[in-house]
Amino acid sequence: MSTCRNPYVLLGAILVRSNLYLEVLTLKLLVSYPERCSGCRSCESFCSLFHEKEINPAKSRIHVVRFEDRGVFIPAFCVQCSSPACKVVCPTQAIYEDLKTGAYLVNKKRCIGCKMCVFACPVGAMSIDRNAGAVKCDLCNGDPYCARICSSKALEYVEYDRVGMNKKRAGVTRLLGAAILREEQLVEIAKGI
Amino acid sequence: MVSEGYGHIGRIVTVDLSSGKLSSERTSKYASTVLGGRGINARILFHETIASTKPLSPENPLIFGTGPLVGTTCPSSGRVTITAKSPVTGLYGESNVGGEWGPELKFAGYDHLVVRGASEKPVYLLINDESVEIRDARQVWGLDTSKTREFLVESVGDPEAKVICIGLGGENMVSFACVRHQLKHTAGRTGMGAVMGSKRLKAVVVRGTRGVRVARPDELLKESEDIVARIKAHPNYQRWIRLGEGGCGITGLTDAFTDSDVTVGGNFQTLVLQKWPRHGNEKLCVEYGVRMTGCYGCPIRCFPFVSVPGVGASEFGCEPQLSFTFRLLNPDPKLGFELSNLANQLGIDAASTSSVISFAIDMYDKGVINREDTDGMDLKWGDRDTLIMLMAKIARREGFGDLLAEGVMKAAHKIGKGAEYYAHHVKGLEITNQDPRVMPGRALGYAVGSRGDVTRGTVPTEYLDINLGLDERTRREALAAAKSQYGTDKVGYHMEYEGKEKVLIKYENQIAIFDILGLCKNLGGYGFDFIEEDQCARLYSLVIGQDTPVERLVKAAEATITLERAFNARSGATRADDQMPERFFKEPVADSRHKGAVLDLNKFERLKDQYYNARGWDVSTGMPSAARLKELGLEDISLT
Repeated sequence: MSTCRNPYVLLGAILVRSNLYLEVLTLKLLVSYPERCSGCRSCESFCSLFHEKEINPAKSRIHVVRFEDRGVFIPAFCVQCSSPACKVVCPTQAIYEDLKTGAYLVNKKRCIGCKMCVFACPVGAMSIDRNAGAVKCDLCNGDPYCARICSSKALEYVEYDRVGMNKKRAGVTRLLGAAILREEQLVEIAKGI
Repeated sequence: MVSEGYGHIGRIVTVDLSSGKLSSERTSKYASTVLGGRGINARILFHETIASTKPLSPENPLIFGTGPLVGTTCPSSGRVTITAKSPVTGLYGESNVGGEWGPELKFAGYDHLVVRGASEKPVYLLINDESVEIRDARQVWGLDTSKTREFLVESVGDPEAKVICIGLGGENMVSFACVRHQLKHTAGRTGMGAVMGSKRLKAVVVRGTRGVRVARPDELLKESEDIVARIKAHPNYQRWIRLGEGGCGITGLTDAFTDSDVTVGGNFQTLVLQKWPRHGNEKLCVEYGVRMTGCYGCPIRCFPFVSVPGVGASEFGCEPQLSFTFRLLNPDPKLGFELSNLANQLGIDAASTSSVISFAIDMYDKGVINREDTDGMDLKWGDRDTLIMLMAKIARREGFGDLLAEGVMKAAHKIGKGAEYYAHHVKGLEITNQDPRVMPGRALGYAVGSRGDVTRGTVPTEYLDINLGLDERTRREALAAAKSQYGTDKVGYHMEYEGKEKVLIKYENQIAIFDILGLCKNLGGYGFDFIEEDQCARLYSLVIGQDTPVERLVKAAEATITLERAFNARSGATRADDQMPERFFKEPVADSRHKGAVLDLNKFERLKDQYYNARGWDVSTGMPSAARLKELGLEDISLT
């Protein structure tokens, strides 16, 4: 960074270093609600078609890990960590943050295909393409396709500051739903008596 | 012409289990008239069999077919059609299944899989990208379908592998054995599991990492997204998903069916189930539902995942639930859920199993059979022990179960003593859960369908009158639309006959289009009218890169249906086989709001005449004419 003479990039770098950019930009986060996921994998097909021009879950940036027997489906994707392991281990510093979206991106020119990021990522968000090197989620440049098309609302692209409240509302609604149900049952039982 | 490489992968793989040889051919060889999926399956079946081919012989090919839209971003594009000559009917057999197996087969690099011959020892197929391997399956032979899947996934060493397999029913060649995939995705009807069992093929495991290419990716993205948005904005979607917020989704339909008194109780003796808790299925799903699940790429999500303590956890299917509650006069939804899970584990078709059991209990009640025939069992309606015992006996083909495993037609034939009167089937295939006496249009669908049809013979306008929870304004609008489309609004009244053949043909064609492309029937009029044929044509055009008018798809659908008809005609079926059971013309509905409803033979035959005429088939024999075959591009088809 220090070698860069472009003032805008320098300004950006200062903002990032000082975390001031969080005040300047409204950053959004891709959030999952695994309890809503139906396991349809539309996210995978749209993701691969958008990025790779073919439908191929093996090349999708997102993957729904399915546990059918238990009816559990968990979307796995890059959560854009605050201090990402992929970035730390990259020997060529090919991974950089997109200031517009907060997504970490791979600089294809710098990537040497060493796969260190693939091994380091704790959620398995990095994948490797034989031709393109490391491949990861770019939040589709500020409008993630997966969140747009998810029919179950299991993926949501939402401002950082709203994540906590939204999750709380979802959790409480679920609990409340169960409580109301029990109430109805009680009423029925009472009628029966 | 269908261009190679877009939509279709372009290859069909054939495995001969007798010799262990593999071969492959190009999809385009078959695709010219029938385009794909069910159409190509029908073509392969027609060419690889002759009139005398026995369903359970090695000569009967078992064909798994995807379609050009399978595994793409198109909504609900996860279907596979499984085709072979049916051991239940001895005629055209076919069943369609969702889930993820079809897309995976395409990701592995194949459009269709054809299994010929028969192995001596139990085997399974492993398709891993392009490699196809025949493997020893002795260790899984005899296991239920869930354990088979777990074991095979483990031994293949890839948790992403998709398994389609048979259970005990298929191994023992129960004529209505099904093929099962994942939890509740089942190719149920017409006994494809028995054909698989006759080949000693326990399972097909698929894993693929290649892609499906499409001609116009950007436009397809846009169009798929629009269609999904349109589906979600559709009033019917809103209606059913509102139910879904309670945890039950489209399965709420089962309650709509039971509320409107069209669900068969017992062996067609009643349409009302005493002691059935109102909205019992919805309550079960709300109370024990975990979440909605669905097939590959599907915005509709039909299956609630239900976990009932002490009973089991699985997906909840509408038809199996009706089969194992109403059909067996069992007023306990939990028991219904338990039995449908058991049928899944055993690998026997829910609809046929419950039909054959209700047939047996009915005859036992009427004294046609007695304790000596039933291995000393006392057959009781809705009794857990009786039902579980009967199902196990059927799957194992033990004693009385061996007789029932032949299906109602053959079982009735063997029993004699007037048992035929209690056997309700079309061409040998058991009739499912909506009473055709209340809906002549549906009766026509059952009668003329190529596989003794059930789900494909639908006349949805009839439901306008039966009222599946529609409000009055929607109903009036739908009636007006029906009038302008079919020339009479009588199609919207369930006891009328007029115009029903037009509605049936429209929806038979529509369903054939979905099956050809690899989309789900639930997108269309079968359930909800979420998308129309012209949207299919648009999606298809974008995928293959050639503008295809909707007429082309309709023609392919007609060609497919006519081809299936020709297959049956070659096997000796005529108009006389397109018949409903005698009882439906004689014995009116005994109770419920539809009391007294019965089919009228003259009107019904006239309706059939109109249907054949409209299809371009001979009215006296029901066979497609040579001119019609030529018109549809099927001039190479010979009916003898």
